[in-house]
Amino acid sequence: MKKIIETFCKGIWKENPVLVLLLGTCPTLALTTSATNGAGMGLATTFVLVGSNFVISCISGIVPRKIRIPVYIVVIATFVTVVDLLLQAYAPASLYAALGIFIPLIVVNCIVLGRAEAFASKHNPLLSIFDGLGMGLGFTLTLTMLGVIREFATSGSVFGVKVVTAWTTDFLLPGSAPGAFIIVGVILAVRNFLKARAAVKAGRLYVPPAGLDCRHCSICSIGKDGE
Amino acid sequence: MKIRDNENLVVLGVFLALVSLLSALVLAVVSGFTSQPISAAKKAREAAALRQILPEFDNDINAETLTLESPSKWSIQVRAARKNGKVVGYAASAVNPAGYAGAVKMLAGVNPDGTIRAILVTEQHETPGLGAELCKRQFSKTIFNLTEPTPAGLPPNKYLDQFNGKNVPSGGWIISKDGGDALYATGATVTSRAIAKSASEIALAFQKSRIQLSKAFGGVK
Repeated sequence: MKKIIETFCKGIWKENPVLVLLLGTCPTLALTTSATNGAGMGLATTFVLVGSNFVISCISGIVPRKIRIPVYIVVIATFVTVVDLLLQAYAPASLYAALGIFIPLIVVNCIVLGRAEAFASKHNPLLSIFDGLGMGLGFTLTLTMLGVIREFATSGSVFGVKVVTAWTTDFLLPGSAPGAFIIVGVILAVRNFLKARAAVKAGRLYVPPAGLDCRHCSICSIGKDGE
Repeated sequence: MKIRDNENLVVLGVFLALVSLLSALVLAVVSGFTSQPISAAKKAREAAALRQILPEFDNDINAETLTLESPSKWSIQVRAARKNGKVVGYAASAVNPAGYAGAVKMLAGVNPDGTIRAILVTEQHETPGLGAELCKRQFSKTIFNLTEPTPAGLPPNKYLDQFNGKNVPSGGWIISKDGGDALYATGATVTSRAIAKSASEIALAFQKSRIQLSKAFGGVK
């Protein structure tokens, strides 16, 4: 039980996919122009992530190692298409209008493949579901936060509701991709600064979480051949 | 030997083919039982859009269609909306291939006299926050009217509404940056141009096809 909670919680802050793992930067930069878009993309990804993590964790025992990546991609793509079809058919028109454009983008979102390879293929289905939930929630929260910041800095509104009514001309920088890079960069810097300061105060060196540096990650084979 | 460690190319190929086959099966099943609801949902969306841009009508709007050719050789699909047999307006759809990111599809309600009644952008892939804003119709909400109910009718959009009820100049509407007098948005010049161009093409096509239109839809039915 403790392990489940730990798996679930680590995605939200300790191993946050956007701010720590730096996965899924493409949707992070492209789709957080407004808070609604950010939350929509996050929720759609969470759904696919939980499903693909579960399926991949179930089949990982019988997938030949050499072709695991193509197999995972097929599983994820199938899952995304099923979600897309179901949403088109049964979701209310307004929900599909808001989420529809994001769904095909999830296939190429490397959080999904990254978690399949780094977590789901090595853990049991139950833990994998919670990993998907935690990572998805972390992704959703971060994207929503970015969306709120960018939307407010662009037009003074949050979730499409104008908060500063006198703000009539949009400020275009935060809404554009370069602005997104700058904002993400500042957030990363602040996060790392806080981490490093906490480490110094505790009198130890700041080290990235285990399993997250190049030497321990298994997503590519760099540095693995010698082992 | 366990299948996990198998490195035989044939085995790997067959495995991948099997996985793909299984995924194709799943997709076939899902697409089989969702195709009906999907087309129904599409029709409902389209009907809602038509109700927004046209006055009240009671005929089957898809029954009569006509394709007009615009000055730039686009084909404009025209459907007639009737009330008690009398034409109360037309729905015209046009595809402008020259958006900022791909085509911009437009659906326009046209008055019987050929002026534009209302415009909707039905499909576009413009930059979110810039070009996409020009195509969007949404009631603006502020913290002061958050709890008020959403007003009925078509949400205003000054870039799309600027052509309503106006006579089209012979060369079409041109945005002010290019020397005309149509509105345009800084940072979204290409989208502004695409909208003005689409509106012009529709209006001009109606202007030059009066006879064709009255032949096709004229007379009380």
